[in-house]
Amino acid sequence: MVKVTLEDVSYTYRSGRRGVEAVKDLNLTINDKEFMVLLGPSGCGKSTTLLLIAGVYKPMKGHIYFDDRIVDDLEPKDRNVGMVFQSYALYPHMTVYENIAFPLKLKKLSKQEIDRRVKEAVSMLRIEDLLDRYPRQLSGGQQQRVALARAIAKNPAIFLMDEPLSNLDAKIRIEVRAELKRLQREIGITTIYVTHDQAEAMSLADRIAVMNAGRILQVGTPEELYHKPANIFVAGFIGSPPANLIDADVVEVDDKVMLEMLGVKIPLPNNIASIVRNENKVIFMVRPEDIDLEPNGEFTVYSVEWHGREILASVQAPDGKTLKVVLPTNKRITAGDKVSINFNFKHIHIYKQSGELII
Amino acid sequence: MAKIKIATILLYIVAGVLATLPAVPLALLISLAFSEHPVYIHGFTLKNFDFLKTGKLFADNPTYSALYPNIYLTALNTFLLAIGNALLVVLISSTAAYIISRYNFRGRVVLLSSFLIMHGVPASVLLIALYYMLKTMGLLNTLLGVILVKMAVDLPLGVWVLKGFYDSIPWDIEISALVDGTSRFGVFSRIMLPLVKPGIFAIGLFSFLSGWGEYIFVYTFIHTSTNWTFSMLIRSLFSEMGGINLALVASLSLIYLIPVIILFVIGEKYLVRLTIGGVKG
Repeated sequence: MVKVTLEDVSYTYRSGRRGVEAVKDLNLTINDKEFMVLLGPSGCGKSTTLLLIAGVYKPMKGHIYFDDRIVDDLEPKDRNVGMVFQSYALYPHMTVYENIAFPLKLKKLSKQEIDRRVKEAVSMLRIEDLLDRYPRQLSGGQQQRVALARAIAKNPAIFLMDEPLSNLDAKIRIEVRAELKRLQREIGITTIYVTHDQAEAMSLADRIAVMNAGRILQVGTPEELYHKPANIFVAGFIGSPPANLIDADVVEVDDKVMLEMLGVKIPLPNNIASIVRNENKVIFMVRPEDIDLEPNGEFTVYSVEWHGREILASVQAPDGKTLKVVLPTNKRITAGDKVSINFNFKHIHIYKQSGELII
Repeated sequence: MAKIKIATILLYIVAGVLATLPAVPLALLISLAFSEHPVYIHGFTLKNFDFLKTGKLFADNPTYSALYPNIYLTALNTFLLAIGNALLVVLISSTAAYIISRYNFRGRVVLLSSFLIMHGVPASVLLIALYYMLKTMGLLNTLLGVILVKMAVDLPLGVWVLKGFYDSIPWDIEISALVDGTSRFGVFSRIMLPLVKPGIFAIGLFSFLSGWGEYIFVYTFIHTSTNWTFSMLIRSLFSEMGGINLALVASLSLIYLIPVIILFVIGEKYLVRLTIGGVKG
């Protein structure tokens, strides 16, 4: 079991004469037995980071440590990592048994030991009856279980997973997701998991590193990221439906600090007012569940979606912008209603125009 | 219903005609090979195949017979040319195509397009240059020389086709094998090669048949009759001053054809896959 540390790691792809900086000065520590999710939109460098840790790419700058050992130049085969891919990457010309046994054969283990480990891995994933099949004879969910079994049977120091659930149907995805979490706990193995799906990240991770444009923007537990996003990108990326991000001007009227936005002026509570008093243009962030609606006002209910557990409403502000609002189902509203809005100021955040958190 | 039936019948008629067309010369060839008369199809005899007993042509005419090599030697030469060509093309194109498919290096695109151009150059325009090169290397009038030339001409197509096969294998599989503990060469030999097997079979078969049927290079570069291949032997039977023994030509041609037909029957499924291309995961 291993702690992984990335120290100022950079990697640039060559494409013709120009280089594309996929990863820039990345610093990240993944603790022993931790489930770390690298979350970000496609092209943000998360898969490159994973391949750097796997050793398929070598860092052009900086160092990668497994515990206290520098592994920069170690070949993938010598790193003892187990990897699972979005495309499953099973070997099409081998049966399930041969697929799982392949890395063990390369380790030159005895026949009995290989057999024991394969049997153990398949029983963990409940795919005992698939051993003689070829990958093309399996469903996506089954193939991904085989890929997981192959990674587990190796008994690796680290699991690396590159969007392993993205190709599966919604129902099977949730099933395999739960299984993955259980296995990771059971085996107690350092896991680095790449995804662009924030819901998946939230449900699996001990900690999440949010990445964009080759950099890490914030590292924290799902809760921290949700309640205290360090910048606009994280605020907008985490949460479903996404948070409302509203351009606002800080104004003072009769010595009271207010936010002028959405075509209205909204007074701020004192604790927030004292911090933003000297700001000019800011971005106001509020999650849909932290907005409440009252009858009569300048806002218009634009649409109402009933989701069983909650109501998702769009509300149009006087200046034409819309806000997403999540309400309890006992709230009686219909499209076309005139309403006023209340923010739960305990959970709002205000960011600079450049994206940094003010409060 | 009736309309469909007429259409079906028409289809069968067209198919029948199309299938008969190539069969006509083949039927003529077979009839002639068993003909008693050396020029016309007449009667039935096995005497045209007498050469199979001793390997000698015109066994009843020693002066004439001495002009020709033993046909078993000719068969061996033809086989060596075919198998040598096939092995070299497979060996080189399977490795070269992998590198071209997977590695990014300077001149890759130029190399690829030059392959296409080389494939388009008619072999006959190269004859003088090749003659000179072989002469310089001391390979003129040797089977090895012909094999090397033939291989060089067949190689571009092989590389091109196999590159397509390699391209169709996802990178993830290769990365997975690297992480699973193979070296880069291990990935190639244990994972990639087995996956492009259909392509390798097809290229091998093509090169074998292409070597087996080669005429122009043998005609140009081989002077001694003991180094002849079948194509050369059959051609030589036409150039004699005396009357042409068509029946003998036909019987030799039939022997020459048999391996081709056998190989096509065996290899058909690989050739069909070649036209579809790639492997399914």
